[in-house]
Amino acid sequence: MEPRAYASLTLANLRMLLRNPVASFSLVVVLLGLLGFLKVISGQPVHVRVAVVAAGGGSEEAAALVQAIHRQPAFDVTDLSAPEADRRLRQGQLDLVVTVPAGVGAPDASGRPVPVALPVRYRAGSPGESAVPTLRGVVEDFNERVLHEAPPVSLDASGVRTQSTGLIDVLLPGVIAFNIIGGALMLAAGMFAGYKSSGVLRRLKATGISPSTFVLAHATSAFALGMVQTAAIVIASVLLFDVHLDLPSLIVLVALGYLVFQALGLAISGWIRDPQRATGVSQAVAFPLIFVALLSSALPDSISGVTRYLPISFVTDGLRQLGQGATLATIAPDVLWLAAWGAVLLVAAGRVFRWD
Amino acid sequence: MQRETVVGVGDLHKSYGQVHAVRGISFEVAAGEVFGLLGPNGAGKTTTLEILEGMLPADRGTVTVAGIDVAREPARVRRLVGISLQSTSFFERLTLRELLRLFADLYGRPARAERLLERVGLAELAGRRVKTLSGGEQQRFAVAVALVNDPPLLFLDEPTTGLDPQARRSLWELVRFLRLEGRAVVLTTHYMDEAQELCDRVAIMDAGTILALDTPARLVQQLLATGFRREVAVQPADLEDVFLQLTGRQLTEAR
Repeated sequence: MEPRAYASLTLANLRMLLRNPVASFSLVVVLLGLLGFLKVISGQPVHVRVAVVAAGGGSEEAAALVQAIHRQPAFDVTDLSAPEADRRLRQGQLDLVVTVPAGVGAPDASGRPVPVALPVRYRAGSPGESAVPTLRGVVEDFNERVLHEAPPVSLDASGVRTQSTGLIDVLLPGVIAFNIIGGALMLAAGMFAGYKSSGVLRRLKATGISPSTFVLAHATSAFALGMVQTAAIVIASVLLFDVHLDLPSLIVLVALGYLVFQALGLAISGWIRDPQRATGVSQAVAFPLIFVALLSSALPDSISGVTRYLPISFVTDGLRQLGQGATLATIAPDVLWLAAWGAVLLVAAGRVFRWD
Repeated sequence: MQRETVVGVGDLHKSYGQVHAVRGISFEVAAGEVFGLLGPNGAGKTTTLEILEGMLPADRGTVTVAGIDVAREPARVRRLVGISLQSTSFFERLTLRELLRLFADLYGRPARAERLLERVGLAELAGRRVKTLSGGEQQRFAVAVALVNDPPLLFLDEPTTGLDPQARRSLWELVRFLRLEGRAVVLTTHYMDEAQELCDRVAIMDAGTILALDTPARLVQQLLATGFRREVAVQPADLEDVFLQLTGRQLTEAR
């Protein structure tokens, strides 16, 4: 390999990629938008639209119960009359209606509070249905604090921080893999085929440089751009979702991913000379891989038993493990499989490479 | 004094499937000589040139360039010579200056971008991209790229095809200048006037064979010796001269 030619070609490629921002950055912008959208939808608290019907004014205890319901952060509470609450519930404008009778807290002859049942109606299948236990908790708390009636059995629940399995943990590996496929396979296949059909490769051949110099320079520049794109995705994920990934392992995995899919793109462009056909074939190969990358955890065993050996599965599996705190040693099988795929595809790409 | 031979071709053959494109041709090119391969489309000119350049393997025969066996070391030959292909494309998003610097690095030669552009009359367009140049400017730039490695021998494949008369004359001047510098040039063309203007010797090809090989003047003499006389009287000027006289001056003044 000629070092000076390699360095100059790499810089020239980077310059050209940066001068074509639509081709170089549109995919990563879309993926960053997807992460932002994911943040918006996953960060939105679910508010239950609740109406409180305070029947007949009521006692101090009844007022205290109404206030307790108002203080529940998951509830968006409105005080309404019974007919209005009923109308809105039927029209789907409310999820739940709770009626607080006037006699709440009134003592019986022995001085103990008279048992009262709060009528609660909710729209079946709405957030109101799942809000009933929360409302029950409000009432139990009220019983204990206001009426000094401790239930014989109660829950003492507390949250524990565990390995996250939220939407971001499922989607982030797919998003990074999507970017690798777009930036390595599809871009490489289209670009090489375009260079070939326009005669650029023939002109480079006329200089006597070796194919390996040209291919390595292209791979290096595409990888550099890909790392910038991946860094943008990872930084956005850290800022938006507090994701933690082992950086050296991430770099190894993404680098191998780029190697494998660039080699695949190069093989396609070597095999098919026409740039439009090459782009079509690369898309036909890429889209099922993207599907596997994004939905691998949802695939049935019969399909995942086959797709798990695809190179993209090793990328997403490794990334998913990194999201759960794995290190390079843990993901070694994925790394080795990717390296094997890379070696096979590089040999194939080298065999079908043609300057013209 | 006998000049050094820079290109030697012996019994060269090349076929594409059933089509026998080159049929056993032989010739030599001396250092500092402008040698033309003439012929109609499909005569085998470009195939011959690409074999000499090391861009295409021959089926049979021997080709040496600067003493190097092209069949054995095609890449070494390509690094030594200057090549302007019939249809040349460059990276679209690089400027002329950047392209010349890139090609200099590919050859491992010092970058002389400004000097080369000045030499081909494109110094003012150094910051432009190739796609924005006219056809003539693109051909001159292709020659500039072919000169990046300071070659003693250049191959120019139909350098003036598709150019207007003014651009053609401009390129002719460039080729004459290259000859003055002592470089050998092998070019293909199907314009006889171009060959007569530029070439020290020409090989007239048709259907893969060389029909005649000599200096233009001697080839004309040989024809006249057969009793040939042109039927139409030669005009002292033609429409091309009128065009050049009119547009050439105007364009020159506009610059």
